[in-house]
Amino acid sequence: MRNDPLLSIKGLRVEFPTQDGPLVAVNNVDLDVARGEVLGIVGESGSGKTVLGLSAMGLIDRPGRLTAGQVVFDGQDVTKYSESGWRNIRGNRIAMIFQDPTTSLNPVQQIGAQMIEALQSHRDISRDNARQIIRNAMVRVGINSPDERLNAYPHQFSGGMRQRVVIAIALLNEPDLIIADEPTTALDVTIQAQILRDMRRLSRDTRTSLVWVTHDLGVVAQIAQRVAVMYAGRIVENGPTEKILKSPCHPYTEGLIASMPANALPGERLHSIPGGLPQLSKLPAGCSFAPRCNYAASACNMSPKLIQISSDHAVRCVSPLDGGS
Amino acid sequence: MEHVIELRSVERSFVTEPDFADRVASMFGAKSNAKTLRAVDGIDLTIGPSEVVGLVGESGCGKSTLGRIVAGILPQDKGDVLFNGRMLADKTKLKDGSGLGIQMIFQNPASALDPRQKIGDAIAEAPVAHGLTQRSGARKFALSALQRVGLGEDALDRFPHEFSGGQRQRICIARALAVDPRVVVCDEAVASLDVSIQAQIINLFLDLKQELNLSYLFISHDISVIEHVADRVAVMYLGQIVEIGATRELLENPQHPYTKALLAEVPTLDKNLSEEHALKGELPSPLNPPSGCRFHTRCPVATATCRLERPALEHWKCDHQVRCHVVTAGKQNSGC
Ligand SMILES: Nc1ncnc2c1ncn2[C@@H]1O[C@H](COP(=O)(O)OP(=O)(O)OP(=O)(O)O)[C@@H](O)[C@H]1O
Ligand SMILES: Nc1ncnc2c1ncn2[C@@H]1O[C@H](COP(=O)(O)OP(=O)(O)OP(=O)(O)O)[C@@H](O)[C@H]1O
Ligand code: SF4
Ligand SMILES: [Mg+2]
Ligand SMILES: [Mg+2]
Repeated sequence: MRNDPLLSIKGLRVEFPTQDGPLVAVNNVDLDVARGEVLGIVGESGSGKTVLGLSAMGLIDRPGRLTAGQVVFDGQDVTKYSESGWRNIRGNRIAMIFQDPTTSLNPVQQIGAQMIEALQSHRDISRDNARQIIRNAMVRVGINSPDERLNAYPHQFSGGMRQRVVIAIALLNEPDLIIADEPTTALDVTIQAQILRDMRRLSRDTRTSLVWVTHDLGVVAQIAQRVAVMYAGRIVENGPTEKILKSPCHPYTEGLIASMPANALPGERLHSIPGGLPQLSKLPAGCSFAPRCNYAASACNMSPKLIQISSDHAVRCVSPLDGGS
Repeated sequence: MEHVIELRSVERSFVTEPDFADRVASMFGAKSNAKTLRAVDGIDLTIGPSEVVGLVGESGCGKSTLGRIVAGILPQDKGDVLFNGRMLADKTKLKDGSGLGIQMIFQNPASALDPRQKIGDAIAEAPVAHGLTQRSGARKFALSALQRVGLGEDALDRFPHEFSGGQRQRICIARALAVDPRVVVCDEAVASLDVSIQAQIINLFLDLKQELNLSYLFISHDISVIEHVADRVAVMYLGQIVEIGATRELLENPQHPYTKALLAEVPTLDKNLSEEHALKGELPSPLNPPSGCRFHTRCPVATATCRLERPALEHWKCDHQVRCHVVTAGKQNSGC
């Protein structure tokens, strides 16, 4: 078994030009994903999770640009790949499940035809064979009567069914890495649990690596061994799921967990972190979270580094909370 | 009590199109393969002033279809939809402001925004057209709508593709609330938001409910959100309501076997994912719903009656109704 990480992101920076100057969506991110690992990514809306995932797929569109860093997949720096190099691995060795399923399905093509295309573009396979694989893939994500359903167009499916089709497509070519961006957001909890079980089995049995972006901390607790927390383009905490959810060390993570509705009485106002995400083209000097942080002190005016507080747990804060308190 | 929304035996079907081969075959006299899919099948539901009715159920069971009917965007085939006691006209035909009274926040924010329209214009367009604000004040109006959902001035002149998924969702929420609706249909409106922003939006919804008597049909798969916001909860399965009741009562005391399975799978921070699926079997195709009780193919307590007879939605307690032979057997209408 190989122990080098399947995906290794180093010093990655992604910018979009705006009227107010460059917007730094991903800011000096380092992240490793081991073979067979399930990594959860959580973080504030707009903090760069999707852009990070897209850059690992070579999908940052102009005028957006990778301005620094590397994305190393299975030992190869893929940031240097040409579009044709990408076509060989995208959808084949790395698959992405996009946040909004409507954008990844073609509205004027039948679901079945889209799936066959996804299969045949990477494999030499007969139509009949392809149909059989597709039928199984649909049943796997809980869509029954696949034969009747394969002729449907995307708008004839419910939101959750479209999302499941997208999941099924991502699984078709048995990729080594799946980047799933809010894959179960629109699914009811029973189907979500079925998909989580299926994905967990997949990562255990075939050492498929999963990067799971989600806002649902309960889902993170169930599927991810490790979790990375993003804030304003940076990773602010990275460590074992249990540790982070039980005793977060970054004040943002603490505020996030305190905002869960399960931590409030029904009908009462929910806790939320005061203030909002800073404008990414005008980041404050020092810690980006300082303007909203309960613990901010003068030392926070210096940009904190990601410091290792134990062998497997890193925090970007000048005075990390002492976990458990 | 006057209901703000009242649905009476509402039904809606879709005819799935036959594929090309079927169409050719039917031209030569073969039986057509077109199938009818009953997405919403006989729904009775009321929403009172400043009431939040939560709607949960398996993916594909008809929640969005029902939401669109309530919002007047999709006509029903049968039954009546009343808004403030008056028959709801097809919204597409309404020219006056009354069409703004019911707003819907859609499940997929990407498709709900015009990609070529700047955010500030998208938000102010309807309010300006209906005289809720002057054209000269439109920018300020749009900004204050955006600030309520945690976005700032820098959003006004940007286009939808420049925003993250959750930011787009908040833009849709701001736009729906900007026209001063009476009823808001929220279709997974907070699903794509991180829990802190989700909390901020839920607080906003609850404030508006208090201050302006807003009513909501709140579709969500997140039971902890439903528990927090809803006064009553309806559980749907294959186009029908199978259980409905006051939120506390229903969540603490679920009766329908489907509801029980659903609640068993709610993920929490301290619960491990069980190896076993709480629901046996697979969701039947709505193209071909089971006879009798629609849940009988997966129900752990089904009897012979369940396979043959359709159960009715009956009172279990005054604030709690269930559609299940086994649950309601011998426990009829306790005086309600
Ligand atoms: N094409 C673009 N042009 C300009 N800015 C962009 C573009 N795409 C994303 N951004 C900005 O980059 C930031 C990061 O966006 P991203 O979509 O990665 O957020 P996210 O963490 O996935 O948020 P969410 O949880 O809401 O989906 C956001 O502030 C967004 O406004
Ligand atoms: N325009 C349409 N044409 C054909 N079938 C449709 C159409 N819209 C919805 N359906 C079907 O109606 C059923 C109910 O769909 P609906 O979108 O209401 O489900 P839902 O409960 O909102 O599911 P989800 O939780 O996945 O969003 C599904 O089986 C779907 O395939
Ligand atoms: S009616 Fe019968 S099959 Fe249906 S839920 Fe009740 S016990 Fe189960
Ligand atoms: Mg995103
Ligand atoms: Mg829906």
